[in-house]
Amino acid sequence: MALQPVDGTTKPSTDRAWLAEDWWAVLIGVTAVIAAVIAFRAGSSLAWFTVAPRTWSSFPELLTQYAQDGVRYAALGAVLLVLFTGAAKMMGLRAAPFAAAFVLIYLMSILILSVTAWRNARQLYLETPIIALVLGLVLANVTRLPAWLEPGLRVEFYIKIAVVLLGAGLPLPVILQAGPIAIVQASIASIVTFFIIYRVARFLDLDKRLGAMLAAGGSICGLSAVIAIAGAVRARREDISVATTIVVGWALVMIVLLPLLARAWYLSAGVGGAWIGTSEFADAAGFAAAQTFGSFTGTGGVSGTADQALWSYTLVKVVGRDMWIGIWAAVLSLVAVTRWEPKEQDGKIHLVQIWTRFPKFILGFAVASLLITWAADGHSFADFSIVTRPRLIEPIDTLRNWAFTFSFLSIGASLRIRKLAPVTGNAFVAFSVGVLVNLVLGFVLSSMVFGSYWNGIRP
Amino acid sequence: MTSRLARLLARFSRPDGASCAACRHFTSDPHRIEAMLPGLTTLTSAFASVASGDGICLKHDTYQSGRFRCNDFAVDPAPGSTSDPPRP
Repeated sequence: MALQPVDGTTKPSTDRAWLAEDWWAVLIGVTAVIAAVIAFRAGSSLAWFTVAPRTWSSFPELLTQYAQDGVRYAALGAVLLVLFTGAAKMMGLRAAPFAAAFVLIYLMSILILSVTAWRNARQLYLETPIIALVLGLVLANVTRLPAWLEPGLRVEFYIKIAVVLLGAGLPLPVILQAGPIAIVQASIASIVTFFIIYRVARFLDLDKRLGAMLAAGGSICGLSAVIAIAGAVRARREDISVATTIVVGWALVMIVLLPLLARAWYLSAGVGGAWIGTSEFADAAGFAAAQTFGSFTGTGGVSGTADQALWSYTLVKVVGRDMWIGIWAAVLSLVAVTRWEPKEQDGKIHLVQIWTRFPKFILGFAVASLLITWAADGHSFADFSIVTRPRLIEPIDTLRNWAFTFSFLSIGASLRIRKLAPVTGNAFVAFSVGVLVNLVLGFVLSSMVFGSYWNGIRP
Repeated sequence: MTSRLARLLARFSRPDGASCAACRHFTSDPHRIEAMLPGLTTLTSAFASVASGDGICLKHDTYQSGRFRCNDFAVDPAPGSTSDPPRP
């Protein structure tokens, strides 16, 4: 049954590119990197400002830390509050509820990072992504989190800022060298997975549009791909709800499953990160999995460094998969309007969507990398470890970890399980077949075909 | 063959005033889209670039580009006006 039109419906301009959160994430992330570079070039550092809980063994020790760093936490929180609330306001969100929600998220993130800084946390599998996710889910589904806090739970906004900041840890030559391999690996996996999910969906008599949404969600970038393809092919709202439930459900399972499997199979940090980048669908969920896997390095039995897991994940997922979403949408809109549309409807194909749908935060990621490459140019390897890393890179890494934590917490806190649509069996089967094939294919590509490359990834 | 090619090329032309973006049944307000698609904000956002001005047709209950057209097009009597619920 069609919904009744609403008189006087708001008609905002479709040209609202400057309002998109991608650009605000780029602006905030790149501004932070520029501030770090200016401070570094002036012989100073953002280290005082970028505070985070340090390793502790007893509560008195933790309380002493809080007492010592209270002003620093307040300063960091105040600056982030102003920046994020300003961006939210410009995007069209109401400032006061967003600010209130962010204060809550910030305070809870201090708590989460304090727990994971506990000396015994790792032995108990108390990793930041897992704690943040579980805490958020409890808040949203067990307690009655006020609905007016929801505007502050911007998973994508926070994760995009984190991705831009992540660019600062990867010198541009590494991105240029790794990019083609990441693109080849991701393209193979995306194309194979897309057609498997779509063919299985059609075999099970699912609608073409639902099949295309599920296929894009499982092969490209999760829910972002679902809505991009939904818009391109004119999908039914109820089908989007079905796809949302399946993609979110599987993405959450994979956050826990992928790091454990990668560790059980003795994958190195670089190989495991690449596998997660190939097999997890959504950016935020994938970062949660990659960061969890990265925390297994060192005493956790995984060779390599935590950063290697994040770098190879980012290269495969963000550079290899996300940036092609506009092309997928353009191709599918061509198919939809020439072959799927009923005669009374007349769709247009706009190739400009290849650019408008492009995830702009990837540009911020590249700019951040370029800035740090320039700032660190001329420093010897010894200087890099003693001066450049602690004074330039580590403060940005700390900011990045805050942004990741805000995002992981928001994933759980924004998920009201009761509100999700029930899943249809055939849609679940079609998507699940693709997930399993993608897991195997991603493993083969990451550990065998390109294994030597991902093993050696380092700045 | 020529007419089929012409029809295909016509698909790439700019949408005119009768496209869904100008229809009273269509909303591309990201606040409203997020409210109408529960679970969406868990892993994406209607404010993201990938959304690209897409919206919901309240007549057919579809999510789509504003560049589509259909026979149910209705002129928006007061573009820019609103009786929407307050923004979140």
